[in-house]
Amino acid sequence: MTAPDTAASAAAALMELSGISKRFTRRLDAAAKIAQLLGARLREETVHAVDDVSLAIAEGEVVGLVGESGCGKSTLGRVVAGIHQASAGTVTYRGRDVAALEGRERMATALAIQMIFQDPMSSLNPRLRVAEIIGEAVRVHRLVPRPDLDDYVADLMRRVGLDPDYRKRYPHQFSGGQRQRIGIARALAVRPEFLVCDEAVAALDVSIQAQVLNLFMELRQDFNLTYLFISHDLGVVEHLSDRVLIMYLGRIVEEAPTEALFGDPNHPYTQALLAEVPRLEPGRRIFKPITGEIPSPINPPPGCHFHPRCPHAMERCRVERPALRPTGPGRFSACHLNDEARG
Amino acid sequence: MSETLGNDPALAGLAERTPDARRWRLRAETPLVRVARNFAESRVAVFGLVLLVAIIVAAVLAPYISPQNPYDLSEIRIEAGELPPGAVERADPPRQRFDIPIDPAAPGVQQLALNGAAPFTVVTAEVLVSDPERIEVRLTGEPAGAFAEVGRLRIDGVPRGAELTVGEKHSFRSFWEVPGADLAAFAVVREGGFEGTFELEVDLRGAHGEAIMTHWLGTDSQGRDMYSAILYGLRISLSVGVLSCLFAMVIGMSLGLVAAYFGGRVETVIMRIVDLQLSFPAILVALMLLAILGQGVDKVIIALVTVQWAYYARTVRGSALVERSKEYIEAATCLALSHRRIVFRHLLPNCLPPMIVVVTLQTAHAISLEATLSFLGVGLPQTEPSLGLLISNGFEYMMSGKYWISIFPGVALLITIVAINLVGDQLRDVLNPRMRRDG
Amino acid sequence: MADPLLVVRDLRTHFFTRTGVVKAVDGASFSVNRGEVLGIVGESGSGKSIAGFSIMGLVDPPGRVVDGAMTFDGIDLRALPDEEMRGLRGRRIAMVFQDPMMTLNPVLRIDTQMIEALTAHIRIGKADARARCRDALGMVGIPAPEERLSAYPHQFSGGMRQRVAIAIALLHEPDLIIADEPTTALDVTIQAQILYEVQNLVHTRDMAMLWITHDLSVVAGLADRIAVMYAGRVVETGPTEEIVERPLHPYTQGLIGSVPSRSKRGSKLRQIPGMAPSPLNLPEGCAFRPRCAYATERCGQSPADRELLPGRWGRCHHPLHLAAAGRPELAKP
Repeated sequence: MTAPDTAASAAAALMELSGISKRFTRRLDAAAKIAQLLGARLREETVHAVDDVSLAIAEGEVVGLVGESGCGKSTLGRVVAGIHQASAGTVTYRGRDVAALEGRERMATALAIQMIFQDPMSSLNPRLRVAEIIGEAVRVHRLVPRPDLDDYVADLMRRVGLDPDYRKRYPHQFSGGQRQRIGIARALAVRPEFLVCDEAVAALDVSIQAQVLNLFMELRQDFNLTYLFISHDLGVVEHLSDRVLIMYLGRIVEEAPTEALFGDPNHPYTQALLAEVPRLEPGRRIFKPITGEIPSPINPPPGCHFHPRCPHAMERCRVERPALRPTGPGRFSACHLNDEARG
Repeated sequence: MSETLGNDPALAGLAERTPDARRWRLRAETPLVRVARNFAESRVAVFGLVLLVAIIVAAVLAPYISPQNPYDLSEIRIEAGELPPGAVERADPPRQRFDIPIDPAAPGVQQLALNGAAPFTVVTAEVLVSDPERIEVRLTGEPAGAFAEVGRLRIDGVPRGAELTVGEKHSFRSFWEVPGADLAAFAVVREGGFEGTFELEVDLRGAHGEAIMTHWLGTDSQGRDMYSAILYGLRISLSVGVLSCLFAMVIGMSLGLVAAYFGGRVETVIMRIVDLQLSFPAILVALMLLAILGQGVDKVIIALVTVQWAYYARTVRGSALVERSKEYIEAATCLALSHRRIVFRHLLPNCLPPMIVVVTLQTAHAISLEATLSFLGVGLPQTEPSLGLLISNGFEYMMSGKYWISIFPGVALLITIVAINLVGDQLRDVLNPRMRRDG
Repeated sequence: MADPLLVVRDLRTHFFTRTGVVKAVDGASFSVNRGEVLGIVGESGSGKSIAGFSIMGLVDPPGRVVDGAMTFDGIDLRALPDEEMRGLRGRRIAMVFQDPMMTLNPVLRIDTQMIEALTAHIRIGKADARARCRDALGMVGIPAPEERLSAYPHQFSGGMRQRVAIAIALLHEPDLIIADEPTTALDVTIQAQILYEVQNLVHTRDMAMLWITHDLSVVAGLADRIAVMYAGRVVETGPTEEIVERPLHPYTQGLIGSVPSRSKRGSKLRQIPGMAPSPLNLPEGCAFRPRCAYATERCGQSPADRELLPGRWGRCHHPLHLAAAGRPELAKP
């Protein structure tokens, strides 16, 4: 799979990933190495959290990234946000390789891409006051003249729906929804262009979740933001995204515009996900689950990672990794069944 | 959905669903108040804290509250050495000298008015020559009862061949000594009568000197008040303990934080040094260092820092690894804050609670380690005796029954360390999230 | 219709804390029949879990059930001595928690734990007990139950552990299972597998089930009836389909509107303004009043729990959709 294969590889792409892999290796410590010399069968364990992923995101677009736990979606988000370095592949922002940037440009790019985190508790430093949480980076990077900083923070708080009178409080004095708003204000403070939202509403109650989702949509318009919206919740992704990527065990298995994907899923895994997501529709449903567990990413099945659970698995699926190939306008899917149908 | 309870963030804890409703603790209070309240749940710990505060106050205020400055040689009297606990130290008894001229040729009563200092303002001597061979002398004084405080009388000038009716002559000197009970009246007797006039030189000595102070804990061989010495010793022990802990903490914490934050090779190198350090017995390393460096407060502190920094490094690395994986550190990375800022402003403050516990317990450890070194004679110099040195100094007197010189500093050391440990143990319970009883 | 298996009337569980009285449950009424799943839906702090614990008699000080009636199969649970309650718990009423490790001891093998759970209530031989445990594991869809019996909890994945926890709850073939957010921590495909097993079990074994969750979508497909809780009270109960189609209480309507999949893509979600009130300091009258678009002066009075439509109970002075249902007299203030 190469970069030009992906959908939004047009010149308009704001963010482009090509061939991104992220491996985590648990190295053997001294004791384990000695044990190995003595004959113990210990090996370094490598997790392919993200395995050769390419994608492009256009300016102003909202891209949803869906997957179950351990599929690598959060790791991919962190590579995009610059928190993790990719083990292989390049991240290009506005046409320039992020890893090659230096000095002022490097800083500008780092600030342009911000992240909203899942846990409203642990994503805020419990020892800092709200004003400091929001204003620290602004002050350190001198984005706003010192005398204006207070007003700037107050404006941001108002913008995300917080009372600026609370700026002297500590995070533990806020509810989950409010804490998430503080996290959003912190990200907005450095005037980002691109937000990576990692399960940003998963920890919130339904009614609060709706408030925060609405806030995200307002902010998109007001600040002309581009989003990579990572979630396990298909409903949230469907509601918010223009385009959806489905990830399974480190690989993107399907990519399509939202309506097309939800209307006519191509990959068997996407089909299963859509069939099983609980929906608020009247009438008792009979759940017909796909069988089997999600395999461990330490030792994923060969070929297509999904084949042990796939009802249509063939011999070829067990040996050959399916490539992400176009299946329609703006649509890609990594499944051998498409070749069979064509052939 | 975990922690969204509504507009009262104080109730965030309510959202934590557990089968055990005891964990429903409301968080209306600041963390500090919560720590204080949880701390106060143990009465023993509160007692320890009160004790510790008292000890620290006593050590800090030692120059103002101790009855004696044990290092000021002008205040110490060797005569007061080895006094048992509760003994009153007294100054030399007051003396009074006067002469009584006696003319045996003039029989009858003669009165002499003598002006004196304490204990008498006026001493009157009545000399009665009733018999050519016997001259009686009766002394009265004002104030009237002052003779009770007179310890002894020394009378010189008794003519050759004459004797006093009371007291005894000094074995080889010329004066007579009269014990307290008989001194108001005596007679000079000489067989064959007296020849010419003579003068008796009377030297009155008070029974007790003025009380200087009571040594409730006794004195050591130099006459130092043990209570004062313990207060001053505590001051030195505590400051050596606290200072060495602070230095060790700064070094250990910086290295531990760096190890946890950067990981990889940096971490491996630092943590292997820590392991190496911790695998040697602390006392052995300290002894070897002091043998090389020599005595002195600064050297002891260097030795203590060397053997203790590793504990801090290891503890702080543990909690920093936990904190480092939290999302606020990732957020700080995302905001392009410098490594130094992330480590010291975001990571460090959140690693402090477990450190408070380690600092407390390690201070106790440092104090006892210093005491051990001083006891072994390689620690502090004699001019700055810590508790350990006091124990060591008194040790040779133990066998002669003068237990207080060694035991009391030992008890003071014990109480200090127990108090610190009581506080430290409770702090560990309160600050350690794993052992905390309420979420 | 037969008498319901469990009837809870006006349950009140309060926590007497340093900061004040927390009215965690403050007037909850619902009932469950055999062979039925009742979904209790509410946000955090709505008191739904505490309601479950109250039924199980698991509320510890400073919490206390202060008022209300709980009748299980004709037995008054509040009057039951502790000893008999213990006999009931685990045997006739079982509980499944969000975190299966709440039930499972990480250092014991699964068979040890399951056999222990069995022999706690009945006398049974070792071989029989083992067979019964194996059957229970098979029942919840664990492949190769015989082998898995000798495994330790950490050898199972999250979904499998939850199955084991459910299997333990099923050991005594209880009449009632109280499940507190059992699938919240699980992935969608695994959640679906568990929902599938539960659905089968309830209908084939004629059990009753209380499914406590914050996720309306999960119970929409599973439960026969739903009870919606807000600020310690059950504000609405009724058959699932009717509630999802035509909610009567404005809070239920808001909750449904907040679920993204129901709104048009890209449009604003119909959010409920504000936040849930603190159970320490509930507003006078209807607790939802400060967030409610339909609130009037009358809502300052606490609305009674009444039958708004046949089979549908609710606490609201201004229930929605009633005019359309042809019962306008109830809708008028």
